[in-house]
Amino acid sequence: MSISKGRRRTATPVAGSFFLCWQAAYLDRRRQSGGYAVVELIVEREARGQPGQFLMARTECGPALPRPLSLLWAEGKRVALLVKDEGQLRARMAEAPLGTRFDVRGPYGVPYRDAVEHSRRYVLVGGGSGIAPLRFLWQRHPELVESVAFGLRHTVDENFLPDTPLLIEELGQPTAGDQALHVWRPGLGLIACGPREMLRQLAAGLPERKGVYFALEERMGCGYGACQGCVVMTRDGPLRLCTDGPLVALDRLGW
Amino acid sequence: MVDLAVSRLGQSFANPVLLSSGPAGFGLELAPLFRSKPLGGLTTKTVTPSPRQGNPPPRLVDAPAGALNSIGLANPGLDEFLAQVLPELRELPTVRLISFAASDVQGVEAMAGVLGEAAGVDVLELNLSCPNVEGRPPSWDSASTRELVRAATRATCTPLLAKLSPDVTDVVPVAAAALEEGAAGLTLVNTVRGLRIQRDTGRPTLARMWGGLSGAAILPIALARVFEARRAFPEVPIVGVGGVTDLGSLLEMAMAGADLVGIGLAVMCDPELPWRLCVELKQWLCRRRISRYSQLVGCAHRGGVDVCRTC
Ligand SMILES: Cc1cc2nc3c(=O)[nH]c(=O)nc-3n(C[C@H](O)[C@H](O)[C@H](O)COP(=O)(O)OP(=O)(O)OC[C@H]3O[C@@H](n4cnc5c(N)ncnc54)[C@H](O)[C@@H]3O)c2cc1C
Ligand SMILES: Cc1cc2nc3c(=O)[nH]c(=O)nc-3n(C[C@H](O)[C@H](O)[C@H](O)COP(=O)(O)O)c2cc1C
Repeated sequence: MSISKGRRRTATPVAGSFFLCWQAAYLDRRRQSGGYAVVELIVEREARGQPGQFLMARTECGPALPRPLSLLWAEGKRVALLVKDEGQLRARMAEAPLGTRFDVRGPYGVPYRDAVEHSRRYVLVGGGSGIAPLRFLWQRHPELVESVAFGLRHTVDENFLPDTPLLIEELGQPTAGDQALHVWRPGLGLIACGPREMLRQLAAGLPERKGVYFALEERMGCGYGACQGCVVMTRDGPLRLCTDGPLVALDRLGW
Repeated sequence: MVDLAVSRLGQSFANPVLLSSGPAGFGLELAPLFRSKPLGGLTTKTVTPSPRQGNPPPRLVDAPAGALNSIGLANPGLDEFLAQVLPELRELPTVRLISFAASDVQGVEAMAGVLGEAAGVDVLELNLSCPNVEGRPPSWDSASTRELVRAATRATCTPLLAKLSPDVTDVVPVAAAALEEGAAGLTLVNTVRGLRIQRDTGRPTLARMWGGLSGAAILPIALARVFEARRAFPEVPIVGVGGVTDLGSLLEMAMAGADLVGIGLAVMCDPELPWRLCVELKQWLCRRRISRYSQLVGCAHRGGVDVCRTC
């Protein structure tokens, strides 16, 4: 059963730590292209986030529930996010003047590196904002990565995501899912983050379940493991994405 | 010196602020905060006789000034609660209110008997109002409320709160039924039944369709229920819950008649909020030279005299 005791693999919360406290985060830089924005925030305290971890974010005027957003990178007090430019919070991140204050807490979630087996190399498959955690993993832990397939619907400026190969759907290029299925071969693992349809396509197309991990994007509540709002049902029972995920082994999902 | 302490339900609460049942789970994730500063009490996630996985996802969606949830009383069940959770709760320096529910009279009686005897259980809260499980919430009518509260109070002497639904035309007869059967107090309110629809598909957003609305959106509803109950039962302990998100809403809840104030959804957003509210409440009372929190409780029924006289 999904209760807190003994199940948490993330850092234990410490009183007054970043884990439970909001920190002011000021919008410092931003570039926007193709319906997405890369936003850089300066936070009060070092975030020490790892690839696959996410921050819970909000503004003082809402939304009532904070939103999970994956780290694109984190260096000292500077963190970057890749957000779609729609929705209550993300549109604000994409449009608000530089210097605007957001609140963030975290980082939460099991880092991808701790969630996967280290005995194989992985094909990373990212769609849309799902590219963020995988690009971060690729940069931090290249030893785990065999190849990457990152896809966006629309063309973006050349320097939007520097040094990142992108497949652009509107240019008729293969989707990230197609590309990944093309390069995957037995013995390799696969880590995917992106829209549900992309994950479903991969689940249907992969002959192998072992070594395959999907990052799921359920709506989240607290982010710290208490409310059970972001639970997904797995073969082993309910799993809280915020503390036990966001990466889930495909064989547990039973898709 | 301002006194925030509340003596009700046979307990000494260090201050009137509680975590309400559910949003903070069993409160264990917030243990570091409990250890650093006092908080009046912690109400646990509702425990049921057997483990419940809860409803299929999506279970949560936001709404203007709040959120709808359909968690479905996901909990590890009574045995695991007693073996794994309660021992950890006993370590927390606060009053423990244990929320429980069962679908029938036998279940309620059995649970009240076991929980009432368990070490570390200070107060019981009988959840008669969850909108996210099979069947109608019992507190939608007085007869079911009466039956279940009677079963619980027959089995234990531990003080019992009856947690009622706001989704009734008049909460007073339902509250009266609970009190006549021996409930020591009332928790008002649970979430308000609600619905959201996915605009791109035309289907309900939550997998189970209905959800319970909470957060700032329901403050006026909760205040009305607390006010009505306080007017009808001047001496009964009342825990006011619903839409408390800041000092202003906490003050209103107290003024409407809440001896104790529960924080729900807002803890999911801001885990430190309940502790900060205690500090802000103390400062507010101090600035107005009000020496005791209890002077505030129900002052809206007395023309606000307590506050004005001491201002
Ligand atoms: C672990 C994790 C990591 C994530 N990381 C990222 C990330 O790095 N970048 C990113 O962009 N997202 C990410 N997400 C997704 C993001 O958290 C959610 O999309 C979140 O809801 C965005 O909040 P918002 O306030 O911007 O949008 P919201 O206002 O919540 O809206 C979300 C979407 O729903 C639509 N919508 C709202 N109401 C309705 C309705 N009634 N009917 C139909 N559609 C509706 C909106 O138009 C929008 O497209 C992540 C999610 C998880 C779980
Ligand atoms: C995610 C979530 C889970 C909840 N679970 C329970 C529960 O298990 N038992 C219960 O009596 N109330 C439960 N509630 C209701 C709250 O205790 C509270 O009565 C309600 O949310 C109104 O208060 P609020 O506006 O401060 O959130 C839950 C509420 C939320 C948001």
